[in-house]
Amino acid sequence: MKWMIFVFLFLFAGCFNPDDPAVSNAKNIQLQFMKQAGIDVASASCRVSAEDMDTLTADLTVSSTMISGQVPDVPYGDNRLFEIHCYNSDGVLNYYGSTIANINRSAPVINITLYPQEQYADVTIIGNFSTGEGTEEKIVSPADYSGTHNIYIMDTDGTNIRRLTDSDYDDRRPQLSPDRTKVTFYRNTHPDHIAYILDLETRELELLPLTEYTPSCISWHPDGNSLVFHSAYYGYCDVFNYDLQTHTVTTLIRNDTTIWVPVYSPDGNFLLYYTKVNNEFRAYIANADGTDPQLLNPGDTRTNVFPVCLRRYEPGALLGKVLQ
Amino acid sequence: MIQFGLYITDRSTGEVREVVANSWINESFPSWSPDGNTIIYERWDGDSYGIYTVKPDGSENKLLLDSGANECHPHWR
Repeated sequence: MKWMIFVFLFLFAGCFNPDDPAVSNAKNIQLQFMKQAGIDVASASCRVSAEDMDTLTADLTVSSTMISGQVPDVPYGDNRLFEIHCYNSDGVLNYYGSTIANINRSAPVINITLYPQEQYADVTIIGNFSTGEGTEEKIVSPADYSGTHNIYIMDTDGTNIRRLTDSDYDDRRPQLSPDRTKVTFYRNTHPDHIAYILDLETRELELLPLTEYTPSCISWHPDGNSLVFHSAYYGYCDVFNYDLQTHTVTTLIRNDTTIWVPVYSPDGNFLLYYTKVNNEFRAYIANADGTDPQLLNPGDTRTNVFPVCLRRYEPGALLGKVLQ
Repeated sequence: MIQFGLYITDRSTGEVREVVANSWINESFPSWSPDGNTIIYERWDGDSYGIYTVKPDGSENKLLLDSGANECHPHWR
């Protein structure tokens, strides 16, 4: 045990590198301005819709840093999700986004602000603009605005919500890759679980050959080269690693207990998860290959689940959920 | 309803410290912000899921997103 304490003290004091390398993927996008009264402006059009309203159109103002505008006379409603589609002049869809707005008597408009991502409408934007993916922190989350849980991405203040998936099935447990350019998640098609990686730049979905494992709660190794997930295929929930380069699956833990929600520590040296044995839930930390599992809170007999390891803040801290 | 709260374990001391634990509320699926200064989590109030953030010392526990669309499983990177 002294050795373990030393290892953890050492790791948290010096070996964890809390700073993920920022990946620059700023795009060079050209903007062709239209001259109006000596001022550089451009225009775009969009269509805004929600489930309980007719589609409305609006003109947007395009600047070198953002595209913005208002859609007036929208039916009232709280926390409604509006979908925004921008089209090229030839009718080709160029941007798809969404926003949540409260529409009431005092604010009967949708305020739209879009930040240049690729190309909008029939304009081409000049300048170095970040797509936001890969360079800035983001939050991903499933939500059922459309009746099933699809994956959404947003800024860290909960704004600029954009829909990433469109499925009649539930998409669950999204996890951003270490370089923030991809999202992995699983789709519950009842009874199968289908694992995907979504490329945030191209919006292309890569189907992972893991369906036979009924993969759940997939998360990334911090080097971005492999995934860890739990599987219910064998009746119990076992833990596997999937190598994204060799496309091989390695069993990490299989011991006839139910093991859930595995995640790697930020340095990749440890695996955290929780088990259910005799209806008792316990959180564990093990070596990354699944060996030498240790109870996370050996003196705590309460339910301990969902352990995740701190990146920074205070030495040695782990976060989890405990049944009161 | 089963009640869950968020706790931090200090591996160097074994101390388990409460971050947030409200009666009749489930706080779960925690995720650290990259700088370690904020925790984002899923909150179930018995009616719907929402996403909240809280500081590791339990302060500034506040709503981020709860539209009735059951936002859940947040991941911040």
